[in-house]
Amino acid sequence: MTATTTDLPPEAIPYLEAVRTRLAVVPVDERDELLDDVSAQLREVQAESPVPLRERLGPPNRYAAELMSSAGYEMPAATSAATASVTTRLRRWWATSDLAQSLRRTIPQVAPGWWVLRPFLIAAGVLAFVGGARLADEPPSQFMALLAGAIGVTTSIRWGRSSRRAPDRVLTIAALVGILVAYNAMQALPRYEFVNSGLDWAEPGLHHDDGTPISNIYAYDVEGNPVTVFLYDQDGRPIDQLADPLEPGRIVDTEYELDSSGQPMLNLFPRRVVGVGPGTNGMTESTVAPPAADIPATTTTSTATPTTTVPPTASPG
Amino acid sequence: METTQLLKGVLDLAVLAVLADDDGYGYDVVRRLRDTGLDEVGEASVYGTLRRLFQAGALTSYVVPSDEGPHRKYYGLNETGRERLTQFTATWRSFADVLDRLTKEVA
Repeated sequence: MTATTTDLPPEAIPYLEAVRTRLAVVPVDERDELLDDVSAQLREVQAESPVPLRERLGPPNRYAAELMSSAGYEMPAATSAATASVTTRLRRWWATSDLAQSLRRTIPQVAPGWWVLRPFLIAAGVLAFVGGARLADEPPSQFMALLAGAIGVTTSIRWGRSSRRAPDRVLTIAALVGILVAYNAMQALPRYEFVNSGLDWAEPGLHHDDGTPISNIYAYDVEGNPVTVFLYDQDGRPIDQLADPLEPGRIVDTEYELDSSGQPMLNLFPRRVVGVGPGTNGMTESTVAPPAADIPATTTTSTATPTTTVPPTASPG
Repeated sequence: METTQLLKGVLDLAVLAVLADDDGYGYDVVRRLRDTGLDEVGEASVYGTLRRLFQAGALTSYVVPSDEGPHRKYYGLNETGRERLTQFTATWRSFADVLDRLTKEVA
């Protein structure tokens, strides 16, 4: 509600404005009330006598000073806006600006929603802090969770509505801390990123973490001798789903060795990959050469014996 | 000068007393104070005092629309205000007594 300047005599308007600027430190609502009274008085004073306002009431800054001190406000005096500390300016802005005023009006409207949301944020923070894994081991029963939720929300609402500010503030701060903690914990989680190296679609077969397909496996014993192996996983299943081999500029294909019953041995490694492509004498067919492998040097002189013995005729499909 | 200093201390009491008589709007209160003899009182002081007393919960405030012009904001005493007036008056009386006794020899 701004003081009405509409029915003020024209000379009174600058006087009122001058007083208004000097009331800058007064909170907006109070300031408007004061100015309301002042403008009413200016109207009457003008109507009473033709003596100019400045003579009649004194200079606006003296008027404003008297107004402020009798209303119980401290005059800013030497504390100009520029020299005030950041916190002081912030507080002053919060008390006097129009934006802050509309913020203050909105806060009571969203408060109830915040009260309901708070306990969940606090819970999220607590969970993130103690580690979700602990709860995964012994998840609280649904009933317990509901009970805790009901208690949390009721308490939050009750404290929000009570006139004592302290418990309400504590909850709000706890909720904000909870957000921070939960966010932090989420950032620290191992990221399961779908790294794409141009192969976005679900490529079948083995891949490295960075997306590079694995189309063949070369095995060497600990003395560095290449060996031919059958590969099986931890459950005894043959490892045979590799990516299709690719060679730039050539058409390649895998040729599988056949077992004694004529079935291709898909988990026998290294696989034989044959390529057709331009060569020195037109199209040539050649086996893809084994790659250079950096085999670590070991100090063991004895060959490591596999602990799982799997019959070589296990079905390779 | 002394009057102004003294006035600062008792303006609350004066304003409360005026309003106890009858509700009033800002400039009205100023006029009544001046009529009773407080011609040194400044309008700004009265308005500030009215707002402060209102903020302290001692006054009620209401707006009366008027035909010949804009609305007027009236102030009046409420229960708290009346209590405050009574207490303040008692304090004033005893204070005045003490001062009287102290200055008995002067003039």
